[in-house]
Amino acid sequence: MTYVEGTDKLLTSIAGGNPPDVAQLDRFMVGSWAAKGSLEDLTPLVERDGINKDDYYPAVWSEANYENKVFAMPWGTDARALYYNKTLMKEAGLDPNKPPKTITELDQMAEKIFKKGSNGKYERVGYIPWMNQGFFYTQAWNWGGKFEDNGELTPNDPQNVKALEWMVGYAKKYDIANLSSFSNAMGQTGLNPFWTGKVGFIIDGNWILNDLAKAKPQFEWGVTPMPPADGYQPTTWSGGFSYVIPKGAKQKEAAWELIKFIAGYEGTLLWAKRPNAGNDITAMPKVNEELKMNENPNLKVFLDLMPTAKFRPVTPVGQKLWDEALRVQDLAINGKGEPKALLDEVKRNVDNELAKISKP
Amino acid sequence: MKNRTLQRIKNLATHLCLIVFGLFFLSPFLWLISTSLKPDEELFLWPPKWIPSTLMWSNYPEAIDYFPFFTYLRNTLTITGLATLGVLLSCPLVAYSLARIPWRGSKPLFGLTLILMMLPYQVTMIPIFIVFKQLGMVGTNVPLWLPAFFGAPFFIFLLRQFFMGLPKELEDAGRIDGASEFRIYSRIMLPLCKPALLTVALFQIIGSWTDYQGPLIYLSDEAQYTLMLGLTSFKTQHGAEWQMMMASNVMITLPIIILYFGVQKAFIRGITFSGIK
Amino acid sequence: MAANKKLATSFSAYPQAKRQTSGYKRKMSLYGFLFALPWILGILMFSAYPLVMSIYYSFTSYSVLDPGQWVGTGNYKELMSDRTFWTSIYNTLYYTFISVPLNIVVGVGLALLLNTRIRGQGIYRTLFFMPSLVPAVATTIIWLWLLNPQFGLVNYWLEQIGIPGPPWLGDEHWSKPSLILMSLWGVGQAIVIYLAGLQDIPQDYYDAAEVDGANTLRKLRYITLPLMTPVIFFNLIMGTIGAMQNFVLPYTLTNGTGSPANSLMFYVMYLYQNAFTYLKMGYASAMAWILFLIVLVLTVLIFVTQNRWVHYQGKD
Repeated sequence: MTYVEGTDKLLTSIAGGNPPDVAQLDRFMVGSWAAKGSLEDLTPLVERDGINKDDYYPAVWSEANYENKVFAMPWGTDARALYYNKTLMKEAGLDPNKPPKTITELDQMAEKIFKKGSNGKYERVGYIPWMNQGFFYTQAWNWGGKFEDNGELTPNDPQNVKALEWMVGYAKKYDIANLSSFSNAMGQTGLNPFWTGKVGFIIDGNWILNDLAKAKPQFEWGVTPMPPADGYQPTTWSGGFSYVIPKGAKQKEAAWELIKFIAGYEGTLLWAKRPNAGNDITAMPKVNEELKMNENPNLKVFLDLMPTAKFRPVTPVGQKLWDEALRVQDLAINGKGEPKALLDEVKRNVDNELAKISKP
Repeated sequence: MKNRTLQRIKNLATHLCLIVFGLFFLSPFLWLISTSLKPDEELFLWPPKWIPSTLMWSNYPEAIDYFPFFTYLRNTLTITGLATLGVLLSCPLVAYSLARIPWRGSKPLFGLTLILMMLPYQVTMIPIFIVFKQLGMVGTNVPLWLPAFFGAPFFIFLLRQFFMGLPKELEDAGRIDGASEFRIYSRIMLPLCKPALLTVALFQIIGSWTDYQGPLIYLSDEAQYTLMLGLTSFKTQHGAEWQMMMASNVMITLPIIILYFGVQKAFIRGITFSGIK
Repeated sequence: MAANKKLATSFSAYPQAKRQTSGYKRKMSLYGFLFALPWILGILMFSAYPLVMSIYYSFTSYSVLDPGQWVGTGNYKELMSDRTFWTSIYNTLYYTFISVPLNIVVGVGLALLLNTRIRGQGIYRTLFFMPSLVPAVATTIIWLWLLNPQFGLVNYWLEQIGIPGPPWLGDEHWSKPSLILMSLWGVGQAIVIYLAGLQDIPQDYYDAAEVDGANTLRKLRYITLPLMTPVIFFNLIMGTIGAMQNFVLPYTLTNGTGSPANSLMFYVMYLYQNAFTYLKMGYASAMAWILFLIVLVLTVLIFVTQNRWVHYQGKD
């Protein structure tokens, strides 16, 4: 039985008619791959072997489904929250044990932390909404926005627009050029501005807890749910991996047994028990409970949010939607367009793409 | 003497320029080494700290143990050796045809050779994969060296330039004497272009050694993996074992640097005779 | 073309009659073909099918995961109205037209320095070649550090001489110039070729010039540079082809997003995205062939102008 990791390779082997029996696929891609008919429909197998979808967090299970059929077994997940620098809060006269609970509070506290140096550049930054995991998607959900509704994609939902406008507000108020020169593009280099100790608040994932343990920063920090807009509930969104059986795999039964195990209770438990698992959370609440992850106060923050976590829409144009959203975010904060108009454009573009795909 | 001091100043200025630029060019490699020796806490400092407070030499033996280093090394050597042999056998032959044999196909074929270099590999990699699939070679390392025995456009171009620069009298003399074309080629032309052949060899070695995409797509059995693939084993779900990865990288790159340094004298003389003039 | 000229003169040693016989021509055709056979076979086996298939794909909605349908010129038409496509063409041409000449100037300059008889030549030459051997991650981090607007070395030195440092990679107007600066690291490979070109210039020319009283500058202008033009020509072609296909560095830097504000969305980056992320391989193939045409045009232009400025010299 063959197993493959790495999308380039997976794509080529499927194209060449040589698919592996099992593959690990980012859950986010399940929608578009399933739409192309390249994944085996696992629904009959799931029903036959009595897999209970409630064993998994709702978000992770939904993300592995397309058009009400199961195409992947979820494996591993992650979540986002707000990290805050207690030391900086103290310096700014804020109570380090009272992190912001709403966006309004966040805005006020961040303002106090922003500090410019003698050369006019920022020495301390309170909050830059789009740093690290603070993508437009994240902020939109914090504002109670949504990206799909009744089968339609809704990038330009009114709350999404408000979220983008709020982000643009920061760009205007604190001068985007100055902010960019602070945050800079750090790509995949593994470097995180939060550790410089110069950032008050930042949105990041639970996996950062591993790096923080390694980096031993010189300041005190904490983590709390992301503050939502006034009147909304705190939330998070999650992504993660999954196991799939590519269409045309030769040993389907064996493949199914394998992924049933890995993505099931025992496999998940085993994987989570490995020595360098650190602060990873699994896709199954029971496993997380069994491993008493709750007792780690930092991890608890993420875990508590998982049952209501959001996930990116499962659609053939999922990746396009994401890239369009980022492109438009980039344009908006650089002052190259109005949020509403830009998001309307995104809707038009993804709807066009969808239409092309649904043509018989 | 005034001239000598002037010369000394020129030399000093040159050295200074070269040192400044040289360090600048050396810096990424220095960063590699620096990261490979860093303890965890200093890994993510920004701005980066160049000299780690403790030199974690242990990262090197750990990196070697992390994946089957010597197996991958052996595989990489095999592939590199075969591919280099391949281009050395095929490309000079073809270049000679394009440069010195007066036949109608030489110009069009040369044009075609250039044109083949203008299409980005991203769109040809899938059909090429399908070709190898039909030949039953996927899952082996054959696709990584077999094509070399059939020529490579960049080297053909380079060697053609070289052949164009050799004196024509040589082959004319051979032809008048009634020698077969192959004898002219092997006894007269080829020995004259040893430096150019060395050049081709060096470039191919570097190419095969640092090839990541090729082994990724064609090799499925871990026992056949190459060193570059070994590097990916340091990646974790949300990051990487940076220090060991960089240590591994240093060890993989070092042989190439040494090879280049040792060969660069002949290497440079090699391109000289390419007659690009 | 030069090739024909050389071939023509090589016949001079033969008796007129023998050269013209069809027998001779046939013999040469056979030999030409035989010697080139490995490559011809190689093209047929490994290049012909991919070439034909990629043209075919460009007329379909092939996605790698499914064969797609025939869409005729649909992909090409769609490209015409694709804003990102045009942005990527602009970005790529901007980059090519500036970085290629810049690389030539710097490459030739450094090669001239490396050609002087000083100690440690070997070490210096190796140093300049090294960035080509280092993985993209390392290059990315070094440049992020050097070009950091707040504490990067480049801005630090600029401020020392009183110039306010620009925001480099964080600003859409400065991001491409930053990348052009970064492209200079690839100059090591070209330098090797220039060095060869320099060493091939017969010393007698310089000696003769000295006798005539020429100083360094005149030697450079009337001997060195003209005789280097064939080498420069080679690197100009290869450099243009390479620059138009620039991909790895901007992709690693921006994680594929081309930010800020799409200023770093290069052509092959967008092509790659379409092919492997959006699963629109047909669309990407159309892009590839358009790129091919653009590069072909540029190359032909360079070839056409070569007579004006490239000086070939016989080896005798």
